[in-house]
Order: sequence, then C-alpha cells, then structure tokens
Amino acid sequence: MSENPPPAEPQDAPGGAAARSESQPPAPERYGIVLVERLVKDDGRSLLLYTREGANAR
Amino acid sequence: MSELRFDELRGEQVVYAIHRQDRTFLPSRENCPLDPTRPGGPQTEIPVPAFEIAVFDNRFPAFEAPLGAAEVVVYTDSHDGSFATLAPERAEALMWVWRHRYEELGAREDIEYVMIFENRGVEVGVTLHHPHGQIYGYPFLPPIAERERAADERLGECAACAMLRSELADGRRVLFEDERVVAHIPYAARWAYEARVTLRAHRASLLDCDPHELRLLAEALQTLVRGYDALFARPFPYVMVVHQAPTGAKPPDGHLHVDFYPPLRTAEKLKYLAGSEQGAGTFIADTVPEESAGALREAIARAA
Repeated sequence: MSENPPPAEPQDAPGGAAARSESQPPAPERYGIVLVERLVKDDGRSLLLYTREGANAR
Repeated sequence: MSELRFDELRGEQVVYAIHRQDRTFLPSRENCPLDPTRPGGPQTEIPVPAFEIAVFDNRFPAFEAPLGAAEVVVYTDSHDGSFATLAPERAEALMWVWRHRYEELGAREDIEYVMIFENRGVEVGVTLHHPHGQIYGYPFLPPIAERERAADERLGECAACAMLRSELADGRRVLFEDERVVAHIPYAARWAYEARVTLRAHRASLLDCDPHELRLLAEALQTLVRGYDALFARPFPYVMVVHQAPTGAKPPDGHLHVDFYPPLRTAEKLKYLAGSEQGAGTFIADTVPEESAGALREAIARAA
C-alpha cells in the first residue's frame, strides 16, 4: 500500500479508530506458531493482532 | 464500493475504485498511520501501544465485501526497517499470518483468488514507508492466475514443477537453494532482477506447507531481499507477489511461488513499461537473466 490507510488523527479526535472495548474480550486463537486476537475498530473494520506464542508485544 | 468493468477487446476486468483517489500520500513520519497508538500520541490505524503483526481492513479498499477484500498487513510496530531487517522469528510468524489470511479469505464465497503482495519503494508507488504489505481478495480469477492455470493445461503437468526442474538442471540462473526452497531468476524473466522463490515440492498454497517449509521460505525471502539491498548498496524497490492456487477452484490447485518484480535495471535507471510492453504486451529486456543471476548471487554472498 503503500497508500491506503488514513493519516494519523489526534488521539482525542472524534471518530478515531480505537478498537471497540469489550468487557470480556475473546481469548486469542492459536494458529500454528501465532496467537490471533480479533478486534473491531470503531468504524466497523476488522483488526487482527498476531503474536508469536510465548512472546508478549503488548 | 468499487465498480468492475469488463473490456471485451482485451478480455480483462478493470476495477474502478474512485474513493482511493484521496488515500493517504506520504504522510510525515510522526503521522504514520501504521505506527502503534502510543500514550499521548496520535491515534493511528492500530489502537494499541505495541504489537507484533497487525492486519486490518483497508480504509480505501480496491475490493470489499460482498465483492472481495482488501487488507493491510503491518509487519512490525517499528516505523523503520523493512522485510529484510525483521528478526527471523518475526518473518517466520509472518508466513503463518499470510497462511491464516489465505485460509480465511479463500473460504469466502465471494473471493476467487487471494493475492498477498508487497510494494516496496516510491519507484513502485509506495506512499507509506512503514514496513507492510497488502492482501487482495479478488471476486474473479485475474489474468496472471488464469495464465498459470492455462500453462498447467498446456504442458499437461504443473508448469511450475516443470520449470523448476529445468532451472535446476541448467543451474545458471539459480541464486541459492536448500532442502525445501529454490530461488532463481526465471529463464524468461521480464525484469532485469526478477526472481522467483519456489517450494521444491508441489505445494498448492501455504496451507500445504509444513512448519519447516514455512520457516525456510521466510529465510529464503529474507536472504533474497538482503541480497537485493546489497546489489546497488541501496534499498531495492520491488513488487513482491505470493502466487498460490485460486481459492474459487475445487479442488484448488497451483504451485506456491513468490515472485519479485524489481523496476531497477541499474543503480539509477528504471525499466518503464512503454510501447511494446503496453501496446503489445511484450517485454523488451536490456539484460540477460544469466548475467543478472551472477551479479545477484555475488550480492547475496556479500549480504550474508
């Protein structure tokens, strides 16, 4: 893409792309050597976060 | 929503995605939308302070449900670097991410073909420098995939398997190889430093690869890109495309290979698609693959 995402917005801007907060987010799914965390952005687009099993990026 | 129009004379689809006209174009470093959202910093596409690999729906998609998909794959939360500078374990994880997306997108009824790719460098139109790639889910079988399928029928066997046998027997264009993966410049490469990374075994897609093959594939891709960067001692622009079996076919068949289409023919000169390429569909090359392979082998050795 080089191309596609929008410019970053100020963090307090209305309509920002924060992931929808869930009271009980689903547990990450295991897929091969990675764990998959499924989120939904405020505008409805999906966001998948992948972490190597055993690693802790967040 | 994009519009598909079919050109009868050329026998091809054209995608009109006019909403992409306003997509982000070379934002400042501090406004990179692919960075993580750090405390006190700007909101980005990825609203967490750190991540390993992220995939999200493109905000300006060429395709979207119910007629395809367009996703962005961010390789790292570090703004700097490239696919080549990822830690080996991150590159290996990326193979699993690609596999996961191929499997999920390919399972959709509206998607006939899943193409994973990376555009690197402003020379090929990149407008965000953060290391990332993309995935398109096509609602039709695009021409290159159709040609590969036709080649299998023409040869009466897997064309990629046949070509790999031929390349290994000749050897002059082989860049490097290991027990599972071979990298070479194709006999009839279009681009001066075009390269193909192929699984030795017939693997229709990443889904058919075992974990060892995925690890070696990641290693081979990084070895090649590091060699590219060493070739002219500069970041080497390319289009990288993961060719896999069409997902609309039952059963899906093809032969996984990753192709690189670099536009540079020298350190400063670009190959342009001009009269013959656009008007006749015939590439005119200024170099021969055997000589390019020699230069690229030396660069790969320097980068090791």
